[in-house]
Amino acid sequence: MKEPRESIALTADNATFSPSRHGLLSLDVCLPDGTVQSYERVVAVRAFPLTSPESYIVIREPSTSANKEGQEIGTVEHLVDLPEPQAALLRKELERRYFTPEIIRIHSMRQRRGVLYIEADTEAGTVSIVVPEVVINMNVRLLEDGRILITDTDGNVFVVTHPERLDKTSQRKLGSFV
Amino acid sequence: MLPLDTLSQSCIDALSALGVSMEDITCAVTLDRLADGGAGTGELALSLPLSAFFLFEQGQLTRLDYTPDTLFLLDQYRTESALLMIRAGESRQVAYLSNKPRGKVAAMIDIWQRARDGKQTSPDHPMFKQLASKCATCGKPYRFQKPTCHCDQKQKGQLRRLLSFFRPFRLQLAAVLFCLVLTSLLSLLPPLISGQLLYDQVISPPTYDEAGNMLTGRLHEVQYIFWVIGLLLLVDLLLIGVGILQSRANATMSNRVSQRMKSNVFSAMSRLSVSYFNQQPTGSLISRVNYDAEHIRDFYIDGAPRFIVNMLQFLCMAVLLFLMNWQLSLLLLIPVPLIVVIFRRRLPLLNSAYTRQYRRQSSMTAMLNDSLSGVRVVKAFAKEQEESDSFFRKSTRLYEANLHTNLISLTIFPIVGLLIGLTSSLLWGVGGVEVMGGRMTYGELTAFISYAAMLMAPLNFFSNFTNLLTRTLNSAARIFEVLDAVPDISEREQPVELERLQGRLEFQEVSFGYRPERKVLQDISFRIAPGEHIGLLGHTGSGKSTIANLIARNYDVSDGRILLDGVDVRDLSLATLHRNIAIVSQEVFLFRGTILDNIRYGRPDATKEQVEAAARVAGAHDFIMRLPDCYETFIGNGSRGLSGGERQRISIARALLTDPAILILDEATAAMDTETEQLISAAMETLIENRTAIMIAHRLSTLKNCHRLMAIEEGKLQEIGTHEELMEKKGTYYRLFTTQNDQLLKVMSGE
Repeated sequence: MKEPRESIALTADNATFSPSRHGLLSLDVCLPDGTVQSYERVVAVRAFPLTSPESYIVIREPSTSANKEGQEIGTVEHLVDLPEPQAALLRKELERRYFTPEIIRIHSMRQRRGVLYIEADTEAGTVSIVVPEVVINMNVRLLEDGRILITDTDGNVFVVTHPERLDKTSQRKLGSFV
Repeated sequence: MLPLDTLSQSCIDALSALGVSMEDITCAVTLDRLADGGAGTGELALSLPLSAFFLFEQGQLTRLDYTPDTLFLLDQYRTESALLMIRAGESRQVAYLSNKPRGKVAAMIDIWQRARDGKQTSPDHPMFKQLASKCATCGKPYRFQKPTCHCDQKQKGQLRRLLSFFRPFRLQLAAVLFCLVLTSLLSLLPPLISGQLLYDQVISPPTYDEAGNMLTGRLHEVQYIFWVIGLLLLVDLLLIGVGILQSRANATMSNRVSQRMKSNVFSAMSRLSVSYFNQQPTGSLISRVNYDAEHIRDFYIDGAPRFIVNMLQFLCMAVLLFLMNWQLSLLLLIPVPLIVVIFRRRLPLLNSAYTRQYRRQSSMTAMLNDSLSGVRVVKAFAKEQEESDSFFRKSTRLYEANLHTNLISLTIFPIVGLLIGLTSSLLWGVGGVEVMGGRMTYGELTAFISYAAMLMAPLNFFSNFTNLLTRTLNSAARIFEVLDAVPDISEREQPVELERLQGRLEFQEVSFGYRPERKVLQDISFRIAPGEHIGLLGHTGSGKSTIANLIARNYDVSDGRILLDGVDVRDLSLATLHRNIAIVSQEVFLFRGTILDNIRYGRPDATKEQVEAAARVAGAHDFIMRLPDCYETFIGNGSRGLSGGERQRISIARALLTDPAILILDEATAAMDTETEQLISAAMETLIENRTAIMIAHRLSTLKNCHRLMAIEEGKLQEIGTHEELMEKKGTYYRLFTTQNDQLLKVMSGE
C-alpha cells in the first residue's frame, strides 16, 4: 500500500512530453519541490472522453505486473495550452487509445434470440458487431449531442457521429434500436 | 500447441523459412485489429523453447526474443489493446489488437509468465475452458458456463422439443385439434346456408334452365324459412359449443404446461452456480421464468391453433370459390397478391416501429423508476423541474414513436380495406352481370362474396405469423439455454462425502480471475489449523471476498488447489461443503416468512428449542421476544422494522444453527456502528468458538481476538502472522494499524 502522491497540474512550464525510443509517450516532469522525474512511458486518460476529449487529460504511470495499479502523475487541463509538437504527440496517443471506428453504412441490423447482430461498413473496414442481450439499452447509447455509441460484446466501441447523415436504409435500420 | 488458435499456412511457411519448426511453437493467437484503417489480421506465436514471440503481419515475420527480465503486458485501450514488451526499463509495443482476441493474448502472456516461474501449462488447464466463452460459429457470447449456443440448432427441432411439454396431455391435444377442425369447417357453412339455401331455394320463386331443370325455388314455402333459420341458429350454437369446449380443454392444458415449464426453468436455474447469477441481472432472470414461458404458452394456446384454423379455412375457401365460379375466382387473383405484397413490405416497417416504440417506452419507464425511487435525492437537490423536463423529453420521444406506428398502421389497413372494397364492388359488378345472365344464382353470388371477404383474415394472420413464430422460438431458445446449461461447479463422479470436517484449510498456489485477462488472486498459499481464527485484511478490491467465495466453492480456482481436511474442495461433495461452511456477510438477506423460518433456513429439521437456543447465543432472543408475534413474526424481504444489528443477529443465529466447521465472516459488522458491533461481538465470539473462522474486516478492532492475521494486497498474500509478528515486521499491517490508531488518538485528543 503505497502512500498516495499528490497529483499536479501539468503545464508547458513543468512538463515535457516526448516520444520514447520505441515511439511511446515519455514524460519529464518537474515536481513542486524542484526535482525532475522522468517516466519512460506514461498513459494518457481522458477524464470526460465523450464530451471533452481535448481537456482534462489525466497522465498516469502505466500499470504493470510489478506495479499493478499505476498512479496518477498529473492533469493536463487543456490540450491546446501545450506547445507543439507536444500537443500533437499527446493527441496522437489519445487518438490511438480512444480509437473508435465510425460506422458509415449499416448493411443489416437484426435481433435474434435477444442478441443484436450488426453488419456494417466502418472506416476500419466491414465489421460484424455482436451486442449481448441484456444490456442493449446501455450498449447502444444515444448521447445528448445525437451521437450513437455501440459497444460490442468484446468491449469494442463504434460510433455514428451524425445519424441523420447516414443513407436512408441505414437510418431506418438504426432507428428501431435507438 | 496449446489450444488457443491455430496458425495459417503462410505463417507456418514463414516460420519454417526462419528455421522454426512447429514443435517449437507453444501457442498462437490470431490478432485482428481495426485501427490503421483496419490493417487486417496478424498472428502471434509464442515459443517457449526458443524464448521468443513471433509476429506475422502483412506477410512479414518478426522475431522478438525475450530474456528472463523481460516483461510483457497488455494495455487496454477503448477499441484496441496494445501488447507491450518492457525490457531494461524501455517499453515497446509488440502488436496492436482489437479487443476481440484480448483474452487469448492475456492467456498467452500467462503461459509465458508461468513458464518463467517454472510452471508447466497443460492443455486441460482451466484457463482454456474459461476462454471458450463465445460460440465459434456465431460469435455470440455464451451466457452460461457450459457452451450451449443454439446458433446451429434447427428451429423445427425446437418446436418439437417444446411439444414434448405437451406429451402428458395427448388426449386434450387431440380433442383440441378435433374441435379446431370442426370449428373451421362449421364456420364455412353460414354463407352457403344463407345464400344458396335460404335465398336461392326458399325465398326465390322457382326458375328453370334451358333443359328444364329446376334452378331455384325448390323449397319455395314459408315454413322452410323457419327451418333454414333454425339450421343457421343450430350451426351458430354448435360453433359456440365447440368453441367453449376447445377453449376449456386448451386453457387447462396450457396452464398446466406453462406451470410445468416455469418450475422446470426455475429449478434448472437454482442448480446453476453463483457466477451465472452475477452475469445476469435479476430482472432478466425473472422475465425468463415468467414471460418466456408465457410466450410459449400463448403460441400453443393461441398461435398454433389459429394457424391450423386459418390454414384449413383458407384452403377450403379457395377450393369452394373455384368450385362455385372459377371465372369470378380469377378476379380475386388481382387484389390478393397485391395485399400480400403490401403486408410483406409494410409490416416489417410497422414491426420496427413497434420495436422502437417498445424501446422508448422502457426507456421512459426506467427514467420514471429512477426518478421516483430517487425522489429524496431529487428533492434534496431541488431538481424537480429538471426531472420534469427530462421526463417531458422522454415522453415526447415516445409520443413521436407512437405517432409513427399509428401513422403506418393507419395507412396500411385503410389501403388494404380499400382494396377489399374495390374487389367486392368488382365482384358485385361482374357477378351481377352473371346473375342477370342466369349463369349464376343470386345466393351463389352472396356466398361467393362472403367467402372472398373471409379470405382476408387468414392473409392478415399469415403475414404476422412469422413474427409470432420468431418470438416463440426466441423464448424457447432462452428457456432451453437455461434447461441445458451445465453448472460449472459440479460434483465429481464419486465425490468424497464427509459428515463433519475438522476445519483444516489449505491454499496451495491459488490463482483466480473472474475473467481470464484480469487476475484477482495470484499465487496465494497458506495453511489454517482446525479451530484457528484468522483475520483477513486488505483494501477494497484486494481479493478478500474472492477468497471467501473460493473456499465455499462458489467459483473454482484458475490454478492451484484448495484443500479442506487434506481433500481438494473439487473432490468433496457439494452437500459436504454446504453443511460445513457458512458465510455471514455484511448484506443480510432475510426471506419473506417468519423469523423462525429464517433462522432454521439452513437446517429445516431443527427443533424450536434449538432455534431458541441459537437465537439466545446470537443475542437475538431478547429483541425477538419484544416483537408482536415473537418467533412467528412475519418479516418481508425488506424486513422493515428490524435494524441492521437485529438482522445481523438473526443471520448469526442462522449460521449457528447449521453448526459449520468453517465459518467465514465477510465484513459482517462493517455496516454497524461501534456500539451495535459491541453488542454483537459477544454473539460473534460464541459463534466462532470451536471452529475455524476467517474474519474479513477493514476495522482492525474487529480482528483483535484473531490468532493470526493475513494481509492481502493486489491479489497477493503480503504477510501472515500474529499481531506481534506483524508489528515487528513493519509491513502492511503495521501501517494499517498505526494509521487507524493515529486516527483514534486524534479523535480522542479532540483534534
